[in-house]
Amino acid sequence: MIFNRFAREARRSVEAALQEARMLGHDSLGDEDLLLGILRADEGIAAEALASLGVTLEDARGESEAMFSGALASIGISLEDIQREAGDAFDLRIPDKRRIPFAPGAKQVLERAVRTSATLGDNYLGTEHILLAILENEDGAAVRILARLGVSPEMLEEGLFAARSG
Amino acid sequence: MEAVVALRRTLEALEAAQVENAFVAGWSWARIAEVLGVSRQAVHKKHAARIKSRYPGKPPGRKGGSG
Repeated sequence: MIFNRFAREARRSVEAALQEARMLGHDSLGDEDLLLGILRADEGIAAEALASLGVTLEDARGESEAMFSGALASIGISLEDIQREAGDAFDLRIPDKRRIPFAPGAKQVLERAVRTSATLGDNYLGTEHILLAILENEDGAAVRILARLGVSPEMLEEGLFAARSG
Repeated sequence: MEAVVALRRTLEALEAAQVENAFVAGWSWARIAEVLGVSRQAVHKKHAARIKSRYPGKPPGRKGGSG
């Protein structure tokens, strides 16, 4: 069980990712939630690197929501109209009792993170390994959120290694 | 494909909201179920606990029993 070797920050980030997924109505946990979780937990090397590039939880969440309503708009559906029609009862949040599984992409991120940690010769799994693994998925929602915030994978990798040595 | 996922999540939330709105407006579970085209048991199982936890006691505007 890879969870045993998780640094405390990495564990907290994954827990925070589940909270973000629940809040945003993601019925499975994706790589964007892992990114939001790192920002929400705000601990460890990855959070430090993201902060140094000006990436905030609020901005990243906002882009995630904009991509969601943009996807609906692309098929002619206005999320705003639906919200207006249904009123306050409309809430995308996943109910507390419903379990949120990991999406296959997010599972692969954690598996890659473990390998990245080994490749770098680290004896722990930190938030930086998770973030590096997230960045490898170029078509993933997380990378697209970062791109919308003006941050490329290359910039962030540089920031991560700077934070590791700093 | 992204739109499909967004639509599925939106549909789930919309169903939950409209069932809640109907319940608060005084509709019986039987009537809600009929309009949705599912069994009364199915709609009750999916929505009752959530809605009742949001409206402890009798919800505003709702008359009579639990339907």
